[in-house]
Amino acid sequence: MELKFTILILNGLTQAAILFVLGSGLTLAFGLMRVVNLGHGAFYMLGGYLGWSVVKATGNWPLALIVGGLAIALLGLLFEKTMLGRVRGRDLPETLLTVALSMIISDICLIFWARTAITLNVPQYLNPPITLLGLTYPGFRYLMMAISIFIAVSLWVILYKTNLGRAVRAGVDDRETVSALGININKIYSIVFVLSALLAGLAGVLGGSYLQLSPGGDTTILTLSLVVIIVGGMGSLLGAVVSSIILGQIMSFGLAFAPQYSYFLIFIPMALVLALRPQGLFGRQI
Amino acid sequence: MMKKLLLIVTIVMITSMLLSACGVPAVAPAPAEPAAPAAVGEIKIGMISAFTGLFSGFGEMQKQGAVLALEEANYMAGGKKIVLIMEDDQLDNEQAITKSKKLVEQDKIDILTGMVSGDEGLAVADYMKDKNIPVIPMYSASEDITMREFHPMIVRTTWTGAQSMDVFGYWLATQKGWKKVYQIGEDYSYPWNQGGGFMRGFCRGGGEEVTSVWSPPGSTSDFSSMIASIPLDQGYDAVLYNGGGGDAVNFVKQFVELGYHKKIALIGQSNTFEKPDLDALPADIVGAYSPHHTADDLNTPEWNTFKEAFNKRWGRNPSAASEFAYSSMRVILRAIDALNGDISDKTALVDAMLKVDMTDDPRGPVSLDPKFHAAIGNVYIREVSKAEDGTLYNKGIWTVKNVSQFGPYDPDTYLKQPIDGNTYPPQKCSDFPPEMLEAANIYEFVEFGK
Repeated sequence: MELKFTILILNGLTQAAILFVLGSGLTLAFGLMRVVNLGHGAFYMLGGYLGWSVVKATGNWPLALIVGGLAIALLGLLFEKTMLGRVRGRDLPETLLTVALSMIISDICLIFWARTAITLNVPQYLNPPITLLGLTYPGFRYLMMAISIFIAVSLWVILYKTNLGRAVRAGVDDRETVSALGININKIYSIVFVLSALLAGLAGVLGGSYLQLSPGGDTTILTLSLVVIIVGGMGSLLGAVVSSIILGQIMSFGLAFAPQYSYFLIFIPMALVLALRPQGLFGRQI
Repeated sequence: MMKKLLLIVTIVMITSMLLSACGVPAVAPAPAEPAAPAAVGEIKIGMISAFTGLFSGFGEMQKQGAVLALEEANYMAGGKKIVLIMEDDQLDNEQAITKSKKLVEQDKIDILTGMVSGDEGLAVADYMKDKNIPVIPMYSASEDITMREFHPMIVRTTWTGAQSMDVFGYWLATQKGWKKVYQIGEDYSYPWNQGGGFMRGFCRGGGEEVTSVWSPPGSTSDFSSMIASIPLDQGYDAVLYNGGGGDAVNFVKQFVELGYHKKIALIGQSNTFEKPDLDALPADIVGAYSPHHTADDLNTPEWNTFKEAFNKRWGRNPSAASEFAYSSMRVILRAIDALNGDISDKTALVDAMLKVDMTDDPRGPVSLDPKFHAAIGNVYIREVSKAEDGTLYNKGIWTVKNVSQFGPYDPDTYLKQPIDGNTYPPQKCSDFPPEMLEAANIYEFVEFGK
């Protein structure tokens, strides 16, 4: 019984890892740019599919992770420079633009990739069964947790230890003043959007290896990432960490004890947060 | 901030509505002049399928089977040109009805076919009840379409969920001597029906218990918590994963990753190990049993011809979903041929379909029950095996011939039982109604290929 609980907690942490990589990118872009990228799920999916093709062609999983992440980052850069930048500051056009992008990407995925569930093959050396404290658990899941901790730490360093991060945080608080101080806010917007796209692409490769990719899967992913940032508070890195851990555990334990209701359970914290603390657990009242 | 949030939520909702309304274009060949009435000498067949979503693999296979049958006939039957209009319902019942409505009212179709999932089929069949248009469900297997919800315009030349599973459960209990099975299933009509069939067969064959756990389809991608909850110390003979498509890929993958395949046997329902999703599964599941109306290594002239044609056209091997679509479409075409293209009397068209000779069907001879318009045909017990090229396939091991949707039960007794759901049949065999346990066995297990 004890063993079962350990597995459940580990499962919850694995879920949390993927939710964090997804949610942190979205929350970052929202916090600074006030634009909710509804194409985030599509970025995830495209990143996963690209990674799948790389694995299929070369069998090299780390390469797939890099290609998936960088390709989406590049796409994010192009999209931000050529389209999103033009409607900056206008909520509705911004959001609708990201919706359009997500539709285009999902259709492109339908043309180029299988219309069935596919999954990235993780090589055996990255997925050895690891036995810790008498419990055997897939190594790849530990790797995912490690990657997401690495991402969390890197983001923290970028946000709190670099000039760029200071500018970003200042921009979150008051973007007008920041641009008045002579900081090129447009450049910072681009950097943050690219970072957010990079994270979505990485999440796609991770998620496509640990779970599977299938047409239409982008909306599920988008919903989950929105739940993460609504619970955690939009724009808050710590919020994304805490809310993905909470949601991951709810998903894991929900599936073990009330599988029929597991999907609804994850919306309970969202409903509670919206009712009691609309700015999110760690969001700031603006 | 609040305003922003509300705006976002609104936009997300609008988006999801837009997404479902627009659907995914360019899945099918463009419909020929949608709003125009059928040209003289033209017959319109509407096909609804889930080309995206959790069961997109089945939808795609289904489409390929149907198109192959049409191409072999040069899109002609009874001297008339056949026009196929395909619609994607994204595995959403409301969409399925909206799309049926579009096909009926705008395209003015003469025949409706398709449908992948159980719920989808039930919804469409219900909507079509008073439309006087023949409905030919292909892969959708909820038994009530040809039982409690049956109406005379329905012809199902394929299967019901319980049909193959009753045989499977009975086989495991009598031939393998299994007593207890732990079932993890997707919570909707088709797996309920498959589970129901399994439990009836298993209990009738002498099994004791089928413990069942359900979760909504597509709601989770991580089943590892459900897998960790499987009680290994309570004497279960096997775990039955009662789901298919993307869910099955996730479940089976995680089952293997957590090392459970070494601890307890894994068996599947008809879709769990079906192609094309089987290609995404790890080879560690070799030996897993499942039942269906096709087997990948069927070696009859009919199957080989079909397999070769399918391979030539689509570059891959057919699955049950593609065979079912091929065979359904062939029945439609042959019925139109038999009527020399005069399909103005829809009742006559249905009668003609029921009279079509299906003894040359690729999956084995099929006949249709004149009362419920449902198929009677072979069930194969299969085992996941590894081909020489390393790919997995379902190898037939036993054949049971002439299985009807009622299995060995008397139709009236069967229809008096409650509808299969997530609380019926009972999990303990001792709680079964005696009349279901006492039905005499009519299954004859013949070695596969004999």
